[in-house]
Amino acid sequence: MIEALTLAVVILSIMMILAKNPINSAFCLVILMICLGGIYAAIGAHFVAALQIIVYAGAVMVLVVFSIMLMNLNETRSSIDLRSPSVLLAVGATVVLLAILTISFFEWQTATLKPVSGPYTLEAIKQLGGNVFALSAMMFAKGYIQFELIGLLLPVAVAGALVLAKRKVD
Amino acid sequence: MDTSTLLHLLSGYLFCMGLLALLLQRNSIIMLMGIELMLNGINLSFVTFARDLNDLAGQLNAIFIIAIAAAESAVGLSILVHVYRNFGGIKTDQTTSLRG
Repeated sequence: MIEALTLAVVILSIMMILAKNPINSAFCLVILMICLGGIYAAIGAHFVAALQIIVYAGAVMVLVVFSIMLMNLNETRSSIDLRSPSVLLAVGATVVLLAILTISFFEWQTATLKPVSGPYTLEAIKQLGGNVFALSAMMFAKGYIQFELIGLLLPVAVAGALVLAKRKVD
Repeated sequence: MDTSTLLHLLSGYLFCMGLLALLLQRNSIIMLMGIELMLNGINLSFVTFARDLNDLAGQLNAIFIIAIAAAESAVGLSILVHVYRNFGGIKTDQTTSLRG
């Protein structure tokens, strides 16, 4: 199951970059978000999976698709010229970054100094009443300052978006 | 290849694909979608490390990142609406008033 979803994510991300039309690449991204939600659900992060579907595949992508409609961007663009120096530089930089990430991951995996494993094994989470209960208990025990700061950030972001989208700032 | 290795490599791959979308495209909305893709790669890395290390703090941080990404995309898209009004387009080669 996870292997199939991974394959779908790999293919959809390439399709998103190479799509001729912005709306096609937005829809590729929506399906990619839903596949990622499936991966989260499959490895036991149920609340993150629900948020991924609701916030990303729902709210954020609706906003993106709505903006594409608003700005009338349905003209197709010419395909990317693979021989221009800027494109070669971009692809080269990305390949180097991917190589560095892969090498550093395998270094971490074979390191002699292992990190300490936490208390939340699958059985412990089951004892606490499931992923959502364990996560909410932890959020209000350890992460309440971050939670309040996010609560402050969201109205500020909404106010900023409204002010920016107004026609004239008086 | 076990699941955790596969997902760690996928998270690095997603980050790189987001970077590639950011660097290759001239359309600002697709560049913004590239940033979303990079944030998704980071989220996947957090959740996979949380699973590997039996710690829920990674999932907690993933939730906060999702909230910040929603705020970021709302502000970014309203900036793009403003740019569209002033320049008549959102391609990055159209908005060159600050170029010397």
